[in-house]
Amino acid sequence: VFLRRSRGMLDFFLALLCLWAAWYHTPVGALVRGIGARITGVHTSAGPLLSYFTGGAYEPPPALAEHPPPLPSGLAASQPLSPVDALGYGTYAVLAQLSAEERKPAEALATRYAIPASELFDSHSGPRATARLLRAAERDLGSDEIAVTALFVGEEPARYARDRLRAARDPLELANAARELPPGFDAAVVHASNALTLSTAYGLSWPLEGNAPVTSPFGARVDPVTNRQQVHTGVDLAVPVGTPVHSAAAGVVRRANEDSVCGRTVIIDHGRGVSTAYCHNSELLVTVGQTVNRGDLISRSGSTGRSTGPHLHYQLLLLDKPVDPFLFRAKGATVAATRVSAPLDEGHP
Amino acid sequence: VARSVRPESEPPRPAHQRVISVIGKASLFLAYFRWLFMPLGLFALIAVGVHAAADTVDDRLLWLIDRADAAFDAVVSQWSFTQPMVDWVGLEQRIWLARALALIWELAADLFLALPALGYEEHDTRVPLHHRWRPLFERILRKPALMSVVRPMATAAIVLAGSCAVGRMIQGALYLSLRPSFGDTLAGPFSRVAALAGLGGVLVAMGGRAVLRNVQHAHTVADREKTRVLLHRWTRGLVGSAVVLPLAIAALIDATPIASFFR
Repeated sequence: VFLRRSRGMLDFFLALLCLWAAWYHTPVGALVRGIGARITGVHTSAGPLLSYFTGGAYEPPPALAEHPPPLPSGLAASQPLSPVDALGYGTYAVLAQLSAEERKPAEALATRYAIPASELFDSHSGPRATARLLRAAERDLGSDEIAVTALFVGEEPARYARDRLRAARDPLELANAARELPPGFDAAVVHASNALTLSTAYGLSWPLEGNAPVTSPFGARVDPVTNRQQVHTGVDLAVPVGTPVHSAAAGVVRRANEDSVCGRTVIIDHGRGVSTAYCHNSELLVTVGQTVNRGDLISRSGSTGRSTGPHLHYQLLLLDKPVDPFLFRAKGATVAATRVSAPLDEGHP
Repeated sequence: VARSVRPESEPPRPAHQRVISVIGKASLFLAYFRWLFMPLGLFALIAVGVHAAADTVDDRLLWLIDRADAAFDAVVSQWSFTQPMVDWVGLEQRIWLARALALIWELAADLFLALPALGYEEHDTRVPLHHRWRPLFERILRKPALMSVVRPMATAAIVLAGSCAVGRMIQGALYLSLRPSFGDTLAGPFSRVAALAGLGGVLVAMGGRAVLRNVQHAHTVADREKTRVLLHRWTRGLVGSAVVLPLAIAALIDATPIASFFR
C-alpha cells in the first residue's frame, strides 16, 4: 500500500536525484552552473570542468608554480631527486600558493602525523616536511596519490575515496579517487593534480650522461630563420652526433617519427601531466606505444630537421605547456652554467 | 447529559496510516508535474551515463590523434612548400583536440539518446511498465531495424552507468556528512544501503522508462514511409548508432562498478 501510494513521490525524488547528478557531473550541467554564476556573480565549482573542456578559455586553471622551490645546490643536474623528495618538493610548491582556507586540510593532516604546521609552510623546511608528512600518510592510506589527495581534500574524504577504490578494485590514483568524491572537491582535486605534476617534474633525470653546454636556453629569443621574436620551447644541448639520449623517467612513447622541423623526434608521456620531447636525433631506438624506464636508451642525437649543427633539443611539457627544464634542476648545476651564445636550433617552436 | 449531546467521533487512525495518507496526497499533487520532472529526470540520467562513459575514452582519443598527427606530419614534411604545416598541430593542440572530440562525442550521444527522452509521456500511470514493454518487444521481433535494436541496448548500458554514478554520489555525500556526527559504524552501512536503494530505484523506475522511451522513438522513426524498405530499416540511424555503440561498450566495461557497492 505504501509503495503504491508513494509511487508518485518516489518517482519525483528519483528524477531529482538524476538531475542532481547531471547538475554536477555533465558538461551541460557545468555550463548551466557557469552561466548562472556569471549572471549572479556567485562562486561556482563548475570552473575546473569548464576550464578542462574549454582549454582554459572559461577560466584559466590555477597556474602551476611559476617559481617552484629550488633544489639543494649540491645536487648535480644529472642526479634526480628521490621519489619521496620529489613528491615533497612538488607538493610544497602548490601548498605554498594556497590561501589560508585551502591550507586547512594540510594543517589537519600535519597535526595528525605530529608535524608542526609552521614547518610545513616554511620556505626552507617546507619541502622536506611535506615529504615526511606524505610518507607517513602514504603508509597509512596505501598510495602516494591518495596521500596527496588527503593533503588537499582532507583525510576523511581521501579515506572514503580509498575505500571505494578498493571495493571497486581500481588503482589507488587521484583520477579514480576524484570520481568517487561527492561534489564540492573540484578545486582541491585540481591542486592535488598540480602537485603530482610538479612532483613528477622534480623526479625527472637528465637525458644526457655528463655535462653538455646549453647553446640556446628556454624562453624568448630572435628566431634565426624568421628573424622574429619567438619563444624557444626547450633547451638546446650541444652534443656530437650519435650521443646516447636517455628517457628522463619511466613512461610510454607517444611519438617516434620524423618531420622537417623537429627532425627525428621522440615524445614520452610520463603520466600525471608530464611529457618530455627529444628532437633532432640521428636515430630513433623506440617505437610508439613502447614502455620505457628511467634511463633507457631511446635515441642517438643528431642534426635532423631544421637545425644548423648537432645538438639535442630537450623539451619539458607540464599540462601540455612547455616549461624550462632547468626550473626543476639544482641551482648552479654545471650543465646549466655553460651557455654558448650561437643558437643551433633554427626556428624550433 | 453531556455525554449524550457530544457527537460520536471516529476512532483516531494509527500514525502510520496518517503518514501514508499525507504521502498519498503529496504524490497526487506531484502527479500534476509528472509531465515535467519525468522527461527531465530521464534526460539527466542518460546524460550522466553518457558522461561517465565518455570520461573513460579521453586517453584513447588522444592516442588516435597522436597517431593521425604523426602520419600527417610525415606526409607534409616531404615537400618544402608543405613543411610549415608540421607546426599546425603541436602537443598542446593535440590534447585540446582530444578533449574537444570527447566533448563533441558526448554531446552527440546526448543528442541521439538523451534528447528523445524529453518526449516521454505517460498517459496512464496505472498501467504497469511491463505491460507497455510487451507489445513493443513483439514489434521489434516482428519488424527488426537497426535503430530499434541498437539504441535501446545502448540506452540500457548507459543508464546502468548513470545509475552507478547516482549511487556513488549518494554514498559519498551521505557518508561524508553523517560521519562527523554518527561515526563510521552508522555512516558506513547507512550510506551504502542508501546508495544501493538509490541505484536500484533509479535503475528500475527511471532506467526502465528511458529504455522504453528509446524503443518507442526508434519504432516511430523505423515506421516512417521511407524506412519500410528492408535496406532502409538497417541503414536508418547508422551514424547515431555508430556514435552511441562505442560509448555503450565503454560504459559497460569501465563505468559500471556495481559489485563495488556490495564489497
